[in-house]
Amino acid sequence: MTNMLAWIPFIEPVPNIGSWWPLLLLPLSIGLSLVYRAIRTKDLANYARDVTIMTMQIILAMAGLGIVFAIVVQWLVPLLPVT
Amino acid sequence: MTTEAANTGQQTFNPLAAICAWLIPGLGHWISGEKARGGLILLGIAFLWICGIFIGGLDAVDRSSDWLWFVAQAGSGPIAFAVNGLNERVIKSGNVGELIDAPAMRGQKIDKISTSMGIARANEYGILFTALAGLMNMIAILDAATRTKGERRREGEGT
Repeated sequence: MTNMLAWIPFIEPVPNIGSWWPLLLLPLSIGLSLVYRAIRTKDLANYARDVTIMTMQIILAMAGLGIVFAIVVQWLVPLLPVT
Repeated sequence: MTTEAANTGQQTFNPLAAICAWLIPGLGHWISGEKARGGLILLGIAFLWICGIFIGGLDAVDRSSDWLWFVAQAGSGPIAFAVNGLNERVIKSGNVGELIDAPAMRGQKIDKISTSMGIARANEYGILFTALAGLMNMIAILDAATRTKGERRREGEGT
């Protein structure tokens, strides 16, 4: 925690990112949705709704992919015969 | 775009909008009359850049070490070159942090690296945020350059 005191934001990388790095998917998907929906949404009155929906779609898709890969690696691959 | 092409909704390429969209994200749409859309594109690209530099520091943009990522980052325009220049002057020169010997194989030239350079997840995510900002701006550039007047009118009508 002490290395946080020496951290210079926007110059040096954030320290102690540790095991919470998957949470960075949230701002990443929000940023992507902000830009993509600004380009593709026809009526900008629906912009906030479209950004929210797309953000949720990205997060759910990534979580789904994570579950599928976890099943493959943790459950299916160990079932394969070892020769 | 010619008047005839604009009236028929035919797609043409508008180089001025493309150049403006590269120089400042959203400016291509702004000069085409879609000011709100241009502002939202700028907001989104700025959000990705601020998050990327916050997480990865200035070292998230490095033209010499991560040149292929830099190609994507450069899609955001001059900001990528500016941050790369800051990285050279602030981090790589040792103005912030300390320059130490980089690990090297026997017989290899030993390079100096900064103790403030980004490594592991923070560096990866910093690069990812800024590279995706560049790629998304490339989509915005293409959209600004090829958007027909008919599409803009539909937006105004709220369909």
